[in-house]
Amino acid sequence: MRKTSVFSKGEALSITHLDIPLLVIMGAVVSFAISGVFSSIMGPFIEAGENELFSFRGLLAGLSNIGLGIGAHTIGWLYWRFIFCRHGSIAPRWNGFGLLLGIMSLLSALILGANLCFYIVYEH
Amino acid sequence: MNTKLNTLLLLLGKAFIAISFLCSIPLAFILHLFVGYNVSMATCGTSLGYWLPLLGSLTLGFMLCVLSKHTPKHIPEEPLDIEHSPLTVTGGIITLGVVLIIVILALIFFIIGIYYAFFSEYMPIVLPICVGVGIVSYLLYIGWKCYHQFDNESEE
Repeated sequence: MRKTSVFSKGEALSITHLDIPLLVIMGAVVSFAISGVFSSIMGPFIEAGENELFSFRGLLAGLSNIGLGIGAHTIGWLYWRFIFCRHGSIAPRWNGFGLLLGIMSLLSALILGANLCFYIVYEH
Repeated sequence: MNTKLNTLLLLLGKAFIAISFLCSIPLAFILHLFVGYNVSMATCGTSLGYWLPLLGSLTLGFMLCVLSKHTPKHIPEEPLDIEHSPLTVTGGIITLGVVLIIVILALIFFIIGIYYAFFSEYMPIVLPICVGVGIVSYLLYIGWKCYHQFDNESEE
């Protein structure tokens, strides 16, 4: 029986099962998840007012990032189901370059998530 | 059917999908430098004028990929399933993150609750209630045990 645990993904992380858009999407998902976790845990207490214990808006900002991550993950799943399963990877040798683009996407999504947090907390 | 057109369509589609996710850093500066489209970094996460081109690029990429009839060179023995996908790793990271948020927030609120109940001005109200509830529960527990002991003795 095939193992489906998160920590035994030898087969899932095979180079033939990767693609540049998939790496870019994965970078965005990881980034949204990380920024969402940090801002959900620390945001409510950092953004609380002087006589407040908890800022609901801070929590909402973090959860919105988690929501964006789930959205990006859904797009990635759609990409896998309808495009990658049919067409496969054109040039798996370029996945190293794809990794760089994935890191770029990670940083981009981090900026996007941080901006969204600031918007929800201060401007909304 | 791997004609040049099909391969080109697939490559273009994948490029559009990748570009749509490379949001703030490359695309904003490219737009700013070459097109003059001013993207303020302070609002690039929320402005519709920034999101809509990315959504368009994503949709176009998906459409081009779906239209292409390119077949993979190495056809796998088993059909690819979601279990083979590297997205299971990112899904695991999201699940882990949500669990972490719930656990840490629950822990923090438990500690804050303990502080408010026993170490603040609410202590004179909460402490007698807790002691009273504790004593009543203990009495009920003793009564329940005695009741069952009486039951067992009558059966014997």
